[in-house]
Amino acid sequence: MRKSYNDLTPNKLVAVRDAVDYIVVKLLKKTSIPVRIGMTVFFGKAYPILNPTRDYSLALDALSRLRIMGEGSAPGDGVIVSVKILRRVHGSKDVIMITDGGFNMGIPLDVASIYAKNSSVRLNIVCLGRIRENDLLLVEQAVKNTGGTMHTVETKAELYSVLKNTVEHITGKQYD
Amino acid sequence: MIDIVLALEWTKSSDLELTIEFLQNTYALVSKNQFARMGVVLYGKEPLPLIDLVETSAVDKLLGDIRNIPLLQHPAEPALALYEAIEMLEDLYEPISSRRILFLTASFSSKPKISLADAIVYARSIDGLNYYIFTTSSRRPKWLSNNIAKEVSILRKGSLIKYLRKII
Repeated sequence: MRKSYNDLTPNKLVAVRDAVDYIVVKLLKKTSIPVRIGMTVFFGKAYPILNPTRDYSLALDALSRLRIMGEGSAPGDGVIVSVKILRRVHGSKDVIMITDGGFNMGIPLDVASIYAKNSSVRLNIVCLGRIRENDLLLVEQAVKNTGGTMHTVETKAELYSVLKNTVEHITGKQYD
Repeated sequence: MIDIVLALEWTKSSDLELTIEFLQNTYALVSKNQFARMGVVLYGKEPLPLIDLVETSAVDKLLGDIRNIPLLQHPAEPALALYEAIEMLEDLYEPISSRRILFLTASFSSKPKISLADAIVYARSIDGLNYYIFTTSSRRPKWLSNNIAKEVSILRKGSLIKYLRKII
């Protein structure tokens, strides 16, 4: 199939990096609401790469270092690490998870979401392209458990739009 | 203030009824103390923090829902649960926490890959932490080294509350 300009180009990782960069630079930087941003990466394991901060230059630096770190996909572990870095944070807490599915390792996503729920953290999950039926069921359950949102995007434009809407939903503020 | 974290094996090998009873009894005792916080970690091959150290009223709802949580992957790694529970106690430490207690339950049905002895040495190094290890099996497995085995108590239904009262 021919790729259009708006597909997740040049690859999913770069498309995600660009879109998150846009959220950090164009949206969060402008808001008067004190939003702290943290970051976690997951593959077969999960690691925090940014402790929640309002220093957006640190966020951009962490983003610029994003790369393929390993094989496998352990989204539940990603959720657990994300919730842990929010442990000491007060106020409303949200996780935006961006994934292309292929879940095959670690604590199942739906089970990990119970910890998020118990910690009053909402899971907002963005799926890149169509993911497997089994993965989709886990995503739906995780979102349901925590009162979050779920979206599937096929193109870069959709990814930007969904992330913008999600941030607007989280912060309760409209961005132009 | 007392901080208590329970690390409970949640696999097909553990005696879940006994584990739940242990959790309920601990809660029953701890909830009487308004200056107590309680956290729970479930574990199988990997640890799952279920609820961070919170006032005990928040644990109440969890008790009703815990049977619905799917079993975790086998074989269990109690050392990882110990590390996870210690991390929770350390991360959420408050200067007014005067006592820190960690309970670990394990079936010890198979020999773990990650050294429990090393995790215990680490637990000993944490200031003010008292840890207690219980097995849901009726006997201590032979593969447990003597220095660990002597620290493992066998959980028995009838004597749970009495035993917990002594500790808490």
